[in-house]
Amino acid sequence: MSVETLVRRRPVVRWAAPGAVASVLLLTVVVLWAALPGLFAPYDPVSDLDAAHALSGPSTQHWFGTDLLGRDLYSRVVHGARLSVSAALIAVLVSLVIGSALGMLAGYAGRGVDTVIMRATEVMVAIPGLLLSLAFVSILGFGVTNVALAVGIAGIPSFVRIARAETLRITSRPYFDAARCAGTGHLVTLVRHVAPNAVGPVLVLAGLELGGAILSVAALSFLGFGAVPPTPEWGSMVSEGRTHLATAWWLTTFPGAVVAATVLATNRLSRGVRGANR
Amino acid sequence: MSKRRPTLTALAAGLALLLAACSSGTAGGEDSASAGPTTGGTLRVGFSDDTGNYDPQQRPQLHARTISRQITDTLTDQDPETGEILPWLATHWEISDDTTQFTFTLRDDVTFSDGTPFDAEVVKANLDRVVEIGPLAYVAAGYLRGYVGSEVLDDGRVRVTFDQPNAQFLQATATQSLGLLSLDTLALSPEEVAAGNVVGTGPYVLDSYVPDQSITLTAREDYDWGSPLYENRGRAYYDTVEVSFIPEATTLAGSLASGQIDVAYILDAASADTIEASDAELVSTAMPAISIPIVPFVYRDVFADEHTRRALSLATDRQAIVDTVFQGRYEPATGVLTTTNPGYVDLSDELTYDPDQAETELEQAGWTEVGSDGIRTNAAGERLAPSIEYVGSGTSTEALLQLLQQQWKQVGIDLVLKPVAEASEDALHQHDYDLSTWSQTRADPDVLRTVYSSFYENQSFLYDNADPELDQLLGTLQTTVDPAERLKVSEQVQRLILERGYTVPLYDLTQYTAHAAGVQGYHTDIEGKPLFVDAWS
Repeated sequence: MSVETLVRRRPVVRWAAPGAVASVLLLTVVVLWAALPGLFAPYDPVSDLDAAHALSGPSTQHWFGTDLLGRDLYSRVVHGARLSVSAALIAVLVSLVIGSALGMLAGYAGRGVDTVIMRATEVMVAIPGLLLSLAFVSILGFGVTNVALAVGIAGIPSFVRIARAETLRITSRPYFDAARCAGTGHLVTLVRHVAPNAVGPVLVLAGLELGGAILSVAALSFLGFGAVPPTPEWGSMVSEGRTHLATAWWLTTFPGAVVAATVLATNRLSRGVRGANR
Repeated sequence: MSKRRPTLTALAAGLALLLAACSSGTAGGEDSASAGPTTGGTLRVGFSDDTGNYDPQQRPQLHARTISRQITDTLTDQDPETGEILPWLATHWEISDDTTQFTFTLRDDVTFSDGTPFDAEVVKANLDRVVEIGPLAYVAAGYLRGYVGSEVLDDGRVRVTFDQPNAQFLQATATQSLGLLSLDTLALSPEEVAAGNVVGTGPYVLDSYVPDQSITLTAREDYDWGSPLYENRGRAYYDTVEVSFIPEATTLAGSLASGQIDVAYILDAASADTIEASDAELVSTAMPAISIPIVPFVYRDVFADEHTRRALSLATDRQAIVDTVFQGRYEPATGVLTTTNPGYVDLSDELTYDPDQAETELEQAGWTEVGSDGIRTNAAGERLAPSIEYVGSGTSTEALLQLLQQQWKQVGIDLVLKPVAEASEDALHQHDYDLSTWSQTRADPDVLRTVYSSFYENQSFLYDNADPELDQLLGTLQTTVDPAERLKVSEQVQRLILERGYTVPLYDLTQYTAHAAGVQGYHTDIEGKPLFVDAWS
């Protein structure tokens, strides 16, 4: 028992690891960018056209260089954080709320309801997530909200599964039977006893999904479904730079690196949370 | 500029490695450069677009016309240097004094690739078919406006009659839109022909077309009637031409630079740098065409007033557009037609950048209030926010529209961008947007009629707002024969179009294509379409 405790405590110690610290710092910066872009961006992301320095590389004046029209790339990345991050949050929220509700229902009600929900979930799992999002966004149309919804819908199955598994675990516990025997109604049991005890693993999954959602949102924006120009968005910035890949590397490299770093940081942290949670 | 160099050097080094790695494929071409043309081999061509319709007489897109160019011939050809019309399948022709009758004398040794002979009957059947399918072939049918009929005088002579003078018809016989097809092909439905069931008399035969993948052309062994503009009038040097579709601009340029294809057809201007850094050769053609415009639709409420339309032009800084979006690789528009079009007239005075005057025009149109967001509103409280639908996110078109958005914002116009995944096939006026860009290539001022007339109303920018004065002038342009007189009419037409704000010319397109260093004899026709018959390695 003592050995097991030690092993399980280790992840908590890992919080102090340099990777985790860097991740926290990076995510703090990104969240601040998203919350107060005006404070960090030296230029307007849309209307400041520095034609004289158009398509020039990183310099002290323009940290990330400028794009084809002479807009400051760093300012665009900062402002892009708001759309990219909020779209990813909406996506995860959609997955979390709908997925957990369905999962708990399946686990709690069992039988027919369980069968219908789980078979439908399996059908969704059979289709690659990004493909599913693409299909949904084609139906919903262009725009960041639609992209967020599409990514959110594609993320539902994993939440259904984990919420159902947690519900099944809880419903087999004595305290659950005790509550039922004491005459607690179905809804109250679900809300009071099942939901709070299932929430931990579900939140960990949400953290893990957030990284994936940022990536999926960026991917769909890259394909042109996201923000309508000139609004900056990380994925569409990478897409804008791709015709100049051979001559202006900074156009794709910086937004791409920011996406990659943010995704890695969220993954790193949710791994830490998972460790701590157990 | 100097900052770019390290990247280019790195790229060049990378390419050198790549080329060294696959040198076995190209070494043959380098060695035989001095030995004269050799026959055989496969020319691998990358197209930036699959236009999905390979009937020469139907859709006018350049990619389709380039295929038509290889598989069909035309009655005449046009010299890219002088604009002169040269005999081809027609050895000579007589034009009646009033330019209503054209009598062509045809070559008697020409056959279609299915073995059937080329004769007067076939020419008549082709022209009849173009008129019959009408709107499907709206460019070609426009050339034949006023067509009364063709008369077969004997096997080798055909007389084409119009009900009014048709000054542009002879030039039209040099365009791929009037490429000649076999009787069996003409008997098929337009859809079947569009799918690649095309038999012509050209140096290549269309073997197979797989949508979105490839087109395979094979050389005709017995070809012997090349255009006077071909270096090689006989059998094509390459046995086969394999066209693959590579819609991603960077990939297309990269495929050529790395030696995976031999010819890249229609490169994005932004890719020109990549090609220049490699050992492939960039070929540029200043297109004889209309200057690429942004066209306000007069049938939309927001552009009903010509003051509003004119304001668009005054609010547009063309020099800034070509300098930033196209990095100086295109020229700003100085007329409705490009400088290489025979009907070109310098109207740069009409195309000045004058934001103050733009604001005056907008106020005259009733857009008098300026909201807190800097956008104008009219008495009814409507915002001046015209919208444009376009395909292609991350393209230079999108960059162009973003710049226009900023320029127009200075005078209080909010240009709303509506990106879509795929262009709709519906008629323009059924769409819910107010502006469009356009492109049309033809080395004759009559291209003005193709684009700006209300001849086929459903295809027209002037839908439900036909301008009799303009249509009449365009009619005169079509019927005027004397070149000096024609240029004068061309100027009148262009002035009228600008005065009424029917179009906002933006820039003159230069088309970029490129070929691998090992490909010899590569050249293009007057519209920048490569002539594969002359290429060899």
